[in-house]
Amino acid sequence: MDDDAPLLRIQKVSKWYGSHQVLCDVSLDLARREVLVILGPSGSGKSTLLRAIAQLVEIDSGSIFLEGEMLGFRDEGRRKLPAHRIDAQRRETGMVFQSFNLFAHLTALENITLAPRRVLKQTRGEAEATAIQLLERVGLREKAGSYPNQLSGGQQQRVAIARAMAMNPKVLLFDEPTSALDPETIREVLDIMVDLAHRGVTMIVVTHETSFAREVAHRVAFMEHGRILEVAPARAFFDSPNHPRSAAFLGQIL
Amino acid sequence: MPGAPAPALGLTGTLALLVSPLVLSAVWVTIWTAIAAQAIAALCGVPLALAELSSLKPLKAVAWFYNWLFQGTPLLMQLIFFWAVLPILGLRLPLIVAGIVALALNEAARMSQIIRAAIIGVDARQFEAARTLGMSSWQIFRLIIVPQALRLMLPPTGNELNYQFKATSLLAAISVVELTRQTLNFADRDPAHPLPYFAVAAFYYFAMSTAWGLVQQRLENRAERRGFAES
Amino acid sequence: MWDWSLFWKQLLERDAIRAAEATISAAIVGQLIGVTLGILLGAVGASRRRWPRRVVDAYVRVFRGTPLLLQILAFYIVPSEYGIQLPVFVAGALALGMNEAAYLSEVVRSGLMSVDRGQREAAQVLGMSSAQVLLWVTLPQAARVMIPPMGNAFNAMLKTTSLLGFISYEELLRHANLVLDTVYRPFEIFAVITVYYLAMTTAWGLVQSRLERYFRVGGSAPVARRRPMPRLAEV
Ligand SMILES: Nc1ncnc2c1ncn2[C@@H]1O[C@H](COP(=O)(O)OP(=O)(O)OP(=O)(O)O)[C@@H](O)[C@H]1O
Ligand SMILES: [Mg+2]
Repeated sequence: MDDDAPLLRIQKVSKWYGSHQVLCDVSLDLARREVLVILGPSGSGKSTLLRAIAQLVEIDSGSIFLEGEMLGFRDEGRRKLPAHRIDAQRRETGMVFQSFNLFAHLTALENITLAPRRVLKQTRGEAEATAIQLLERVGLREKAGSYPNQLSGGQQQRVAIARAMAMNPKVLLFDEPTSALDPETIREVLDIMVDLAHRGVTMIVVTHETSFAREVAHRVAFMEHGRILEVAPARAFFDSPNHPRSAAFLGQIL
Repeated sequence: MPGAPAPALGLTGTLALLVSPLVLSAVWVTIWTAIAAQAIAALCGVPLALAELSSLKPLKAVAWFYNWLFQGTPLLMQLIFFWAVLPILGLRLPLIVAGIVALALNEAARMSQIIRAAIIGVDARQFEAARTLGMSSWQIFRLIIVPQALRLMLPPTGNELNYQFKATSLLAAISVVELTRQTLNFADRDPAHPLPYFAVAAFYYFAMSTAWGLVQQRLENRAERRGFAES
Repeated sequence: MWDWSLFWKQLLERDAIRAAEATISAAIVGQLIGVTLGILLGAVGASRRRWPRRVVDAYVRVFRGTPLLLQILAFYIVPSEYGIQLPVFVAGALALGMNEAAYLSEVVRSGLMSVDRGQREAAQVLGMSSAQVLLWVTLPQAARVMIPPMGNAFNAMLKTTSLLGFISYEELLRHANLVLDTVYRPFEIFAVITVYYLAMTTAWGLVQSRLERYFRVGGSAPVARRRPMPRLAEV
C-alpha cells in the first residue's frame, strides 16, 4: 500500500434521522499519522460523523474507506457486510467517549485486557503485559486493580484511552473526551493525547479545547448543520478562518 | 356436545364448547373462588402485617413463623392438608370452602408483606406533619396512614388477584370442578383429542387476566385523578 | 393423638428420602431450563429486531396468562394426541422450565436494558461480536439485578414441583398422598414433608444471600429491597 494514499477516505456521506438530515455529503481524507480536530456548534453532526466511522450508526449514502477497504458495505450497491466482517472492521478503529464508558463490572486492567483476550485471542499473560505498559504510559500503573467507580473522571478517561490503544487501532476517534471533566483534570487527559499525537497515532478529535488543537492538530475541520464548511491547516484556521461561519464560531469560543 | 365420543372436536365443536354450560359454570367457579380467597387473604393480611410491624417480640415472632411456614411450603400441599384433616377435626365444611380457606391462608402471608410495605411506604414526614397538628397516634393511623397505604396497596393487590385466578387451578386436586378440573374431566372422556379442551381453558384464563387488567387500569386512573400521583 | 414414632419413621423412610431427591432434581432441571431459555428469550426481547421480539412477547403472554398446572397437564396429555408420549419427568421439568423462562425473560430483558447503552457501544467499537458483548459486558452487569429474582424463582420452583404429582411424578407431595392411602395420619405425614420442604427452601435462602453478596462486585451498592419482590413462576 503506498504511503501517500489517505488512510481514511470519507466520500459524500449522508445520514438522516427521520426527515432530519444530520450529515450532508460529508467528504474528508485523513492521512496516516495525521491529527485532525473537528470543531462546530452543538448539533452540527460531529458525533454522528465519528460514530459513522466507528460503525455505531449506519450511513444512508456515500462511503467510508479505511486503507482502501469500504466500511460496512460490500460494494457501491450498498449490500451490507455480514456481522462478523463488520466486527472485524471495528477492531481497526478505536473510540474514546465523552462519558468514558468503562465497563463497570471490570477493573481498570480487565477493561484493557477484555478485547485483546476475547477478540484478538491473546493469552492472559500477553494481554496483561501490554495493558500494564499502557497503564504505565497513562500514569495509572497503581490503579490496575481499581473499579471504574473508584477512579476520578480524568483517571477513567485515561484508562479508556489505554483500552482503545490496546487494540492497536489504525485510527483513534475522540468524541469530546474532556467535556465531562473538571477543569483541573482536563489537562491530564490532554497530555496523554498530545503524547499519542507525538508518537504518530492517527486521530480525529472532536473537542472545544482550542489549545489542544493549536498544539498538535495538523488540520482543523469546521462543521455546521451536517456539512464541513472549512478544512484548513490548524495555524491558518485559527489565524484567519476562511468561512464567515467559522470566523463567527471562533469569535464565540475564544 | 362436549365430551361426546365424537371423532374430533372441529372448529364448530370447539366454539360450542366455548359457550357450553359446563365450561361457563367452571369459569364462574374459578372467578368467584379467586375473588373470595383474595378478599379473605387481604383481611387476614392486616393483623399479620401489624404483628410484623409491632414492637412486641412474641407478636413479631408469630408473624414471622406464619410467613416462614406458609411461604416455605407448597400451596398445593397446604390445600391437600386442609382437605385431609377436615374430617379428623370433625369439621363438615364443603370442599370448596376448605379450598378457599387454604388459598386465602397461603395468600395472607403474601398480603401481609404488601400491606407492611405500603404502611412503611407512607412518607414519614406525613406522620410528623400530623403530629404537629396534635393528632393522636390512632388518629394519625386511621386518617393519614391508612388512606395513603390503601392507595399504595392497590396495584400489587390487583396483581395478586390475577395470580389467584391461576392459583384456583389447584382446587382441581380436591376435585372442585373449576376450569382446570373441568378440562381434565373432558380430556379423560375424550382421550384421543385433548387439545381443544386445553385451548378453551387457556382462552378463558387469558380472558380473565386481560379483563381484570383493564379493570385495574381504570381503578388506578381514577385513583390518580383523585390526586394520588404515583411517586 | 400425635404419634412421634410414626413421624420419625416416616421422616427417615427410604421412599421419603427418594421423593425429596426427586423433588430436588425436578427443581434443578426445571431451573436450568428456565434460566437458559429465560436468558435467550430475554436477550431477544431486549434486541431491536421486531419479529423475534413479537414471538417472545407472545410466548411470555401465553405462559404467564395460564396456570402452571394447566401447562403441566397439557405438556403431558396433549402430545399423546399426536402419538408422542413424553416421559413424566421430561414433560414435568419442561413445563416447569418453560413456565419459569417466561417470567425470567422479563427479568433478563429489563436487566439488560438497564445497562447503559454506552457500555455496549464501547464493547462494539473494540470489535466484539454481539454474542461477545452479551456474554462479557451486558449480562455480567445485569447479573446484579437478575440474581435475586432468579434465586426467588428457584425457591418457588422447589415448591411448584409439587404440581408434578398430578402427572404421577413421585415427588414429596405425591409420596405423602400415597402414604396417606395406607396410613391415614395426615398430621404426621404432612409434618414430615413440611420438614423436607422447609429444609430445602430455608437452605436455599441461605445460599441465595451468599450468591447475592458475591455478585455485588465492583463496590456497587446493593439493590434496594423495600418492596416485596414481584411474584415469580408460582402456580
Ligand atoms: N439517535 C438519534 N435520533 C435522532 N436524532 C439524532 C440522534 N442522534 C443525533 N441526532 C440529531 O442529530 C444531530 C447531530 O447530532 P450530533 O450528536 O452528531 O451533534 P454534535 O455535533 O455531536 O453535537 P454536540 O456538540 O452537542 O455533541 C442533532 O440535531 C441531534 O439531535
Ligand atoms: Mg456530540
